[in-house]
Amino acid sequence: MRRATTFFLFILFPIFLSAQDWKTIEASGPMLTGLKSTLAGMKSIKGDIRQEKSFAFLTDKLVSTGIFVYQKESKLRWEFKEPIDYVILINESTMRLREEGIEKKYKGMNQILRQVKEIILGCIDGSIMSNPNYKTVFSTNGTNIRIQLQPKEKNLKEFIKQIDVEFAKSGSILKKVTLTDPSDDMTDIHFSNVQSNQKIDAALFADF
Amino acid sequence: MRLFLLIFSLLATSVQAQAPGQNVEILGRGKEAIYKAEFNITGSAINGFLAVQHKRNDVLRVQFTSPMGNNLLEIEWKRGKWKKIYATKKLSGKLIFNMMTEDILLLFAHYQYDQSFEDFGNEWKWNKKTLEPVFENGKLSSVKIIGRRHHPSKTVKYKRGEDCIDELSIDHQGFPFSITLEPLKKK
Repeated sequence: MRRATTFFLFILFPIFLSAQDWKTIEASGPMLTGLKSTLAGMKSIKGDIRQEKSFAFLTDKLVSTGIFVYQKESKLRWEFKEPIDYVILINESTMRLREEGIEKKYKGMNQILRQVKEIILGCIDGSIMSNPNYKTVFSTNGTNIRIQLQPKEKNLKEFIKQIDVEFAKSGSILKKVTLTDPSDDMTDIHFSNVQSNQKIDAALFADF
Repeated sequence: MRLFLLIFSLLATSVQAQAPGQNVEILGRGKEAIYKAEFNITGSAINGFLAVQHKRNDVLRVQFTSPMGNNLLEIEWKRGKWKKIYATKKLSGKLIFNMMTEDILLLFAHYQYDQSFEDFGNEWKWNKKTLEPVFENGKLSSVKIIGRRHHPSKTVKYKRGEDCIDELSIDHQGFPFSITLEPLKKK
């Protein structure tokens, strides 16, 4: 009996530990104040993206890879190169879309793309942290800071259930964004080779 | 001689009747795939990825997502009926939804697993429609779907590569509606 208890404790201990990994932190605490201040001072950021979409009923994941380039205020090039060529170009109030070399009109998909724009920009510049349309929970595991956001509005809830944004505590570098669909399917976006405050060619935002 | 002709005609009918089971399989039982997808719906194109699973019990699970990963449509074909799990406004209108879901069954030739499917050799009957299959080198290359008024209403085409299908498409004649799928694995 004692052996069995020890065995179960041994099995459950790592799970218990990992659940303990993330500790909730105050929105006004020094860790988040530091993160907000670093992001506020950030003029540009670029890096590689690897998006992994899981389907509840498939064993395979859909993996898309590419790059992103951001410059204040509201200039973004989000480009997937594999498995399809797909570019979202945001230049302040304008938003353009190109797929497989052809610019697409996104009539009818405006609402979705507007939400995508708000989420991407908000995650990169950190403005999503103070977006009143989301309920936010902040936590840390010591090395990373995680922001969990749940939309408050009905039309947003239909589109997304939760957004998890992770920044490295050191250097406030964006590491990962997880989007959870209302159907509980998840899309993980991993960021790597992230460089901030580098000179960015303005032409990257002007045209495809 | 009559007996010989009778045996020959019975043999020919039975060979043709087996065609759907042997040569028509697009996504076999127990298989799954992800396709690059383009839905052209009344003039506007929606692009993304279509994930499809054909379960062993012939349930068909289908999910259409945007390139950013947002879920646009999730449906399940079970016991002869579609169940809508999720659909964006653009795809949930009755006319569009019914057309799109029927097209998905036609694209994956999933009608062959339906109880109402009847095989008459050179033509098939399903869902009050006549299907005229064309085979090239023993493999299904297109299916013309003829509705009640005996006019060609839509055509499914299969572009085949060396060992797999490179492109599946369905196009409605006289109505701006089409779906084109390209399997991702071949890339």
